[in-house]
Amino acid sequence: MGLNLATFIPPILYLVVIVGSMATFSSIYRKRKAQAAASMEPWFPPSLSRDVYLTLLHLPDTPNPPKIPDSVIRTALLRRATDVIQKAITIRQSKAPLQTLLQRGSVGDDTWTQFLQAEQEIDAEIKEVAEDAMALSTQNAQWAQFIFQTAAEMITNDRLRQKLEEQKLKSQEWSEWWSKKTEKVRSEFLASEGVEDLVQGTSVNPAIVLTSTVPTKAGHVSDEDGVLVEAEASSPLTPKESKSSKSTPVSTPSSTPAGSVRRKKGRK
Amino acid sequence: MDSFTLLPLTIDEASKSLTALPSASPIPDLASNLAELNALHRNLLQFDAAIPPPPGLINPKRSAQINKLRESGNAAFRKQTFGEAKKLYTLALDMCLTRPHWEQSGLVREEAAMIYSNRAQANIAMRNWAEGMCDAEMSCGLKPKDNVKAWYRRALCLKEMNKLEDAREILEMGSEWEAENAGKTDGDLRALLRDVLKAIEDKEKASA
Repeated sequence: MGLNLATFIPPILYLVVIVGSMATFSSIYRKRKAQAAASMEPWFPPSLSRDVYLTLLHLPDTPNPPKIPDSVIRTALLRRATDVIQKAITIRQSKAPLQTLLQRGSVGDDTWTQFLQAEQEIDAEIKEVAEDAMALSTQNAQWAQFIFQTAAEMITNDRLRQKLEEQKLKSQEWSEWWSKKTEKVRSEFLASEGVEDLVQGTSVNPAIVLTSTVPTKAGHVSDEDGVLVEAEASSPLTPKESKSSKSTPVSTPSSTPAGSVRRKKGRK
Repeated sequence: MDSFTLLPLTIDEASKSLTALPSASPIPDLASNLAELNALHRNLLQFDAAIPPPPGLINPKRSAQINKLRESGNAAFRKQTFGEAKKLYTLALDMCLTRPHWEQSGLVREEAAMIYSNRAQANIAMRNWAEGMCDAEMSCGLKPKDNVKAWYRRALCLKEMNKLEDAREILEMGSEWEAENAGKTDGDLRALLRDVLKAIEDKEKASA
């Protein structure tokens, strides 16, 4: 009997040591991994719209809570939904390129884990928003079915208006360039016609006339004259004039239109 | 991800608008974020329970108004009162671009492209080449396909401003987009392209 026990001790000891070391290793490994995940920089910065929404939900728990109407909460939820959709789009767009980068070794494994974590978080948040939208639906409107549709449309619209604003700025450049050019041509025309006395004597005059008339109906007459004159004047005054009529003195936003259209084409 | 920052918020009972309480460490962007939220909230109050309808449902009133303004713009154009036409188009454009953002953006594109193209025409009639060019450019950007007129007007303005190379580029780009309509509606584009090419040639000869 005693002999029997003694023969059993080594294998049991062996098992205990093996299992014990494995357990310690796995616990340490997991702890490290969790730590790494926790210390990982989030993919997206903290979302203000989410904080606002959750704060509104939790306000009743605070001392002397203000009364928040449902409409405000719905608005906050819609804004949160737009933020989430925006992020989901970013995630979807960057997944394939990031994967290629990972395969080529240009991006480390930790970036990829970080990305996957962000993807999971966004998925969870989408679910959360959908559930809340369901809770905030009315009988007539099953909001959960179209809140993301609305949110996505709002993003597209925001981008469209932004593009239009940018384009408007460019247009202003064009208008300024053109009015400067016509003004120049006009003053040269006046000079070549021998009205220098007038120009120099009352040097303010032509400028006032031009600036005040450019946007109105009278302005276009002067524009037309300018163009005609330029064509004629370019032969006698050749070197300087033809150069100036091309592009040198005033910077021309010449290649801008093509670029903008291509960008829009690509987005579509 | 199960935690959030409790923000110092309060609500103004009368206007139902959210405001941030003054705090020791103010959060950046919170004020502007809340301002946007309040503006959206005021806009959403027109709906039952402040739920905006799906993007497909459009407020017909605004569409009707835009159409009416555009039509009267067209009428003014036909009467040769181009300044008036331009003013009306601008009004229509404002109405169109201030459509609420939850409505379809495709509709805004479509409408704005048409109005911009019309306004370009009015500008061309008044010989405001630069403005006409910009309007036509907007139109092309919003709706590059099936928009021959806008491409034509854009190139025409460039040509009138003596930017021949740009005009040629635009005409080529335009005919690329209008490839499906080749031979049907792009006759003007081709004619203008011939003109422009000829003008470029003449210019080269003159400078040579």
